[in-house]
Amino acid sequence: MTKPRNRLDLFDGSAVADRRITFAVMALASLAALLITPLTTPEQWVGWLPSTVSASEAAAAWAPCLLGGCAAWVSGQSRAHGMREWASSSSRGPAGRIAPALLLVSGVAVATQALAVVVLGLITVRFGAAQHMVGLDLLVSVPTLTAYLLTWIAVGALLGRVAPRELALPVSVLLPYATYAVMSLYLSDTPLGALALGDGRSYDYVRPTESLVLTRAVFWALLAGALWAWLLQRRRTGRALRWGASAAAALALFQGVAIVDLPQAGRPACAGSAPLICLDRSHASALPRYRTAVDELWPSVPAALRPGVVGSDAGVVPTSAGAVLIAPPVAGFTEPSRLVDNTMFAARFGDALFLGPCTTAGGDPAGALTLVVWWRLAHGISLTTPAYAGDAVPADADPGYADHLAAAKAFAQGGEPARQAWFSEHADQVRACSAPVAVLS
Amino acid sequence: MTRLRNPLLPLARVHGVDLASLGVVAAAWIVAALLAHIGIPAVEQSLAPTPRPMETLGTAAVCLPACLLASLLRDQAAWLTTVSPRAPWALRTTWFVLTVAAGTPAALVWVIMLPDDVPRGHAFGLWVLLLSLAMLSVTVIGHDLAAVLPVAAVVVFSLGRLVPFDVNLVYNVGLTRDLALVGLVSFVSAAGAYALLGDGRSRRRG
Repeated sequence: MTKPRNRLDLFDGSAVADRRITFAVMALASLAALLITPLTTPEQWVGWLPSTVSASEAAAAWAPCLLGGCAAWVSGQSRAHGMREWASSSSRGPAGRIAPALLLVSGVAVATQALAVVVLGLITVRFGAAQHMVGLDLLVSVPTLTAYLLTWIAVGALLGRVAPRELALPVSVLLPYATYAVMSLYLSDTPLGALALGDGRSYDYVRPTESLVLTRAVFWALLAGALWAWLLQRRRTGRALRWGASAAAALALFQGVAIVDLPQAGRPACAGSAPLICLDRSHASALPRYRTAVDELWPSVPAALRPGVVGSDAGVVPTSAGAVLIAPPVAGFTEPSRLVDNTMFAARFGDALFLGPCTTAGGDPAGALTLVVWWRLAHGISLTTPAYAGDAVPADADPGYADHLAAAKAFAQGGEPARQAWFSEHADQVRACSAPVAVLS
Repeated sequence: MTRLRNPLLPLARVHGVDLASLGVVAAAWIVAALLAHIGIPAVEQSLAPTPRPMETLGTAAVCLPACLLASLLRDQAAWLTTVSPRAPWALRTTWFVLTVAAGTPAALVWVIMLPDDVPRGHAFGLWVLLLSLAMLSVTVIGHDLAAVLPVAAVVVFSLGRLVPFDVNLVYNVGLTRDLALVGLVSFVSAAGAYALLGDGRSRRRG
């Protein structure tokens, strides 16, 4: 039997048996909504602070839904358990009755967001963000997200108070998501998009201006404050905050979606030799991982075809250091990526090495397609499913696939010296996309 | 004793069905149909646009009518069911069938109103799955928390790459048969669980 308490409690009369479990569930849901999207796409943001910020803003999609739902659930306790009339006659006023719900869920939100910021910060620093520190002021987005969450918690708490729970719960979940979707993704090209948090843009090469970041933070903070003041019946404060929020909204609307280039982000960053490898500054923290991936492939690259420079983009490679191969690091759906998936990169590298010339030279690709099949066989890469995002699968894209597969298998069975000799003999033809189908004599 | 002209009416009353609750369900359907037309980036970005899965917003919006319809399974006078000369499971099954039957035409209208390139069968399968999950929520947790399971499912299937796309029943339109199977299994379990156990809230209240 539980010990009787001497005063009414938020959860009295509710089906909440153990509030620690309730808080644990709320915190887990919040953490999941804050962290899952960035943690499942690390290749897009690790090691570059602006992209880390934009990845963390993805939480604006689902975190306010779950937290708003939690707020509706907590604030609707007395209503859901038939104590609405009792509650209205309690010595606590309306503000005193809704305050615990607001504070409890906000506490969970702030604590879990702080934890999420620490986790993402540690990861991005561990992958080299500190060496290429840019856009520190974008961190203003952290309190903006907090204010955004507090806004929807207030809306959820209000819905839980005024609507029956079966209606309040799904509406408080759907409303933030619909607002997010419409504002960030539907209106992102209109001035209203300026107020949206997390519009799906990755800050790899661009960023919102400092004034927009700041205005957005002020707007959401004032809006959250105004809603809280209204719910807590601080009328005068609420009026001032409403005026402020409205002014901040106007300021943001006048600025529009002010996105500017990140200075230096597109400049080349090269390292090492034989081959020299090049990325842009935005991806520079990935240079060591890119280097390792290239070095692992290097022994299997035919000596006659080895390039002097491997880079992610024609704009970042010097032309003076020898033959250039454009084979960006790939992982997930991203190219260039900040982590390297070895299998994807091997496939991408082989395609660039053999098929790359065919995109510009436009010769007969039959020989190149055979070599791609050989390369993939040699590296154990699937020929029938996409090896990376955007991969033209040989089995689907190549009309002469059966012949090329047979030729590639025969080529693979030949000795290494014979293959190297073949490559030495046909190197220029491979580079001009006019190599014959490889046959070892 | 006066004969009841329409035996359905008290059954509806005891489950809290009145004009207002039906109006709310109808409004939820309109919201779901409208939101399905707002296009936002799909979960799997490498896919060609057609045939596209329903967008996340349209999918999340279907939770609304599903939860509200499922919450009509509430039993406001559980003692009446207990003392009725009819078997409780038969009464509950009747009400379950009536609720589903009332929801199906609206669901079909919603399916017809979807954007042209959304596969119809997949969307209907999704409706069955979400409704079944909401009804399971009613049995396991309570009618007021019907949203828990369907919302959890939509969030899990929508979040980044949490669920690999090969097994993403909700958004991978190549998995319509699997979705139909899972939908059918959850529908049958929801029906069975409700017939045996009834609304979780009234059950616990005793």
